[in-house]
Amino acid sequence: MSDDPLLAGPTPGAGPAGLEDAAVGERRLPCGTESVDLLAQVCDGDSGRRTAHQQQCPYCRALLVDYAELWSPFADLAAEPVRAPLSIVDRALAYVREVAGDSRRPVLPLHDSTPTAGEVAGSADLTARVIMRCVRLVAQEVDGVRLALSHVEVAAPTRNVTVDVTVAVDYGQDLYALAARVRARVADTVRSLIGPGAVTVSVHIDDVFPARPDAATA
Amino acid sequence: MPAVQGSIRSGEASARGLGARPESAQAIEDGWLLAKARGGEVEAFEVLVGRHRDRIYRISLRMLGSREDAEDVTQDVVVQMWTGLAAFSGSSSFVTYLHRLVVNRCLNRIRHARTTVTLPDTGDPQHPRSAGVGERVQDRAELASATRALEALSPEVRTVFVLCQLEGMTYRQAAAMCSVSEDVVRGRLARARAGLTAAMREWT
Repeated sequence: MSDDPLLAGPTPGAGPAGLEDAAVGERRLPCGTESVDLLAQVCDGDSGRRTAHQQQCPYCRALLVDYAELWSPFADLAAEPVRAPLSIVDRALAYVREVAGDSRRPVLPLHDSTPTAGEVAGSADLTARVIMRCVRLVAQEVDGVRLALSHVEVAAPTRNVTVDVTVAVDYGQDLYALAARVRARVADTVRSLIGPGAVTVSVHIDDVFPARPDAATA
Repeated sequence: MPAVQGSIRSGEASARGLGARPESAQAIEDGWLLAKARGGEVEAFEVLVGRHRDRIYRISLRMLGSREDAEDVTQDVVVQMWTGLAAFSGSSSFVTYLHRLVVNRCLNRIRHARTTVTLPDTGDPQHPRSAGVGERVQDRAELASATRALEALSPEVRTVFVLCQLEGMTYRQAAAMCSVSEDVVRGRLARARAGLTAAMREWT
């Protein structure tokens, strides 16, 4: 007897009787095989791996083909790539930043708004968040770095940028060399974003992770 | 060229034995981000959400069958994750905690808010297919039928189906998440499969 509370009677707050309650459908084929076993085989993606009996038995073969056809929409559903709409997630994260008091970031002007000959008047700027994201991404590209977080301080009048990079790295690295590579890559990236200026990069190696299983064989 | 100033500091490695435990790389990385987020680092939280946002949305979509509802739940879950960071004990993996959060949100929505069935929007431009028009229409119709059949399952049975069949969880993981035994999970999955197959037979 099943110990599923759903089968013991109505559950408070549960929905209406489900489709599955009407679906008995279990039967024994003339060859003695239970149909439910063949269905499980198909649902597990093993319809092509037939036993010696199934290769010979017309009842099993027919039902496997039938189930495979009926099940294909669910196999497609499982394989269908589903991406979360970025705007939805961004809205939620904007709310979180606001709640956390992290919604405003200093802005760094990219150039003077006074146009020279041939230029269109206007201005361009970027927030420290842009620098933070770029720093994180470029730091994670450094071989041996698994994860990176960053904190950026921008002194707008002097265009001096102070970057703190916190990283978790793979075990077995020369940590000083690794940190030097991170500093160099980050400094290059920041300069490419804001132009010449003093860039201070501090690297904090916060954790060491076991090497990934695939790293040894790569 | 201006000189790069700075410093290098090394923190203490966490207590886990390096290379000794078969904890997945993703779980270890999630744990690090989670610790940082619990320390108030919003960027760490953003990265964590970025790693799991598709999973949150996908489970919601399969549980609820409606894109709008799935979007609402996704937003709710992200906010609830942030406000509930302190409550996460760390006794389970972050992914398990997240699944539970999403499933509970969906079940609440199904039980308390939904009295009608929303037909799925099958014209999703995110998933273009290369087949011909006729095949595309048929594919969409089949996916729509599958989604409708899924919605007809009871919420508890649908939960097990989504977790085990679509998300690839083990019986043990699904059992822990649903607070039932593995036998119950096995039974519900079998009923889901039988019910869905019967529905497809009826509609084809």
